[in-house]
Amino acid sequence: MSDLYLRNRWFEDIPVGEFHVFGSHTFSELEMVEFARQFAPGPEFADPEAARSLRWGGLVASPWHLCAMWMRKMVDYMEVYAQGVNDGRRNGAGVAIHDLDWLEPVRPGHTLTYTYEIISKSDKVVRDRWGVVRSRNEAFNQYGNKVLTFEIDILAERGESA
Amino acid sequence: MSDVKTLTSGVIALDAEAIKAFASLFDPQPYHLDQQAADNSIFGGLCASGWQVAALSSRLAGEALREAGMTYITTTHVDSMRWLRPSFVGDELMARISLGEQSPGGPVPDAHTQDLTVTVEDGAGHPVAEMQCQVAVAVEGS
Repeated sequence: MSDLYLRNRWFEDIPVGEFHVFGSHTFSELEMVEFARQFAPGPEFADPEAARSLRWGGLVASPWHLCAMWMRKMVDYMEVYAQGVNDGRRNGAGVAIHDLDWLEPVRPGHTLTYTYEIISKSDKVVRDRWGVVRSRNEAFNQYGNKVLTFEIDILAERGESA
Repeated sequence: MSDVKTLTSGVIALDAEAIKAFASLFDPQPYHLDQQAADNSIFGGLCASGWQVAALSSRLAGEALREAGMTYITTTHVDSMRWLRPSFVGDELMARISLGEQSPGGPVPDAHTQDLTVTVEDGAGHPVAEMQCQVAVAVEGS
């Protein structure tokens, strides 16, 4: 059944309320510094030595790093589900995010676990063939505390019956 | 300084190496990794991950605030971010920043909260992303 594959589903096949725990990642100091040097060069994010005497008392992950890793975990998860599918990719681009909050600092060695839930599907049709699916995405650290939350609108191809 | 309402950032040029390097770590999809696959994709060319554009938006905005004398620390909240068009190899990304309300306190210690609207353009006058957000700006002397 091809509709078992997340990446391969039509817009109409994606159920509101679907919930997945789709990946975890442990953030190392090295990767935090490498990301920050390119995108958030402040010492709180890019300089472990200097960060010790700054406002968080140690290095913290730059906020977009947590979102970039969300994307990686999502791509990996979709690929696993899509194994054996001969490019049935029906997920399109992300178009917008809403209500993004970074709730607690993420420090070297912290492990985030990412979840998503489909919360709504728009009636709007984009460029004749795409529907818009909104999901709520969250990440929790190893203590179970929520550290990241946002909603994202992603295009999904509409079936021929639409 | 206090009556500055709009700022213009510096420029960051997107090259293929940076797009592929980011994508291989965070967004390994064909249209961000492979020129030929990208040419045949819905985007029509090698383009940056939307998250790379998002992270660069904050960097450009932060640098512009610092240029204007405000000690930007980090982005703390995004009300909305819209990706309006793909960011291709060769785009020279720059941001136009409108300063909104500033309010005391916020999630970051020893910092104020500053509302911003950030519009990122591709160097040819096309907006590629728009972000409504809040950032933390250090309280003087902290």
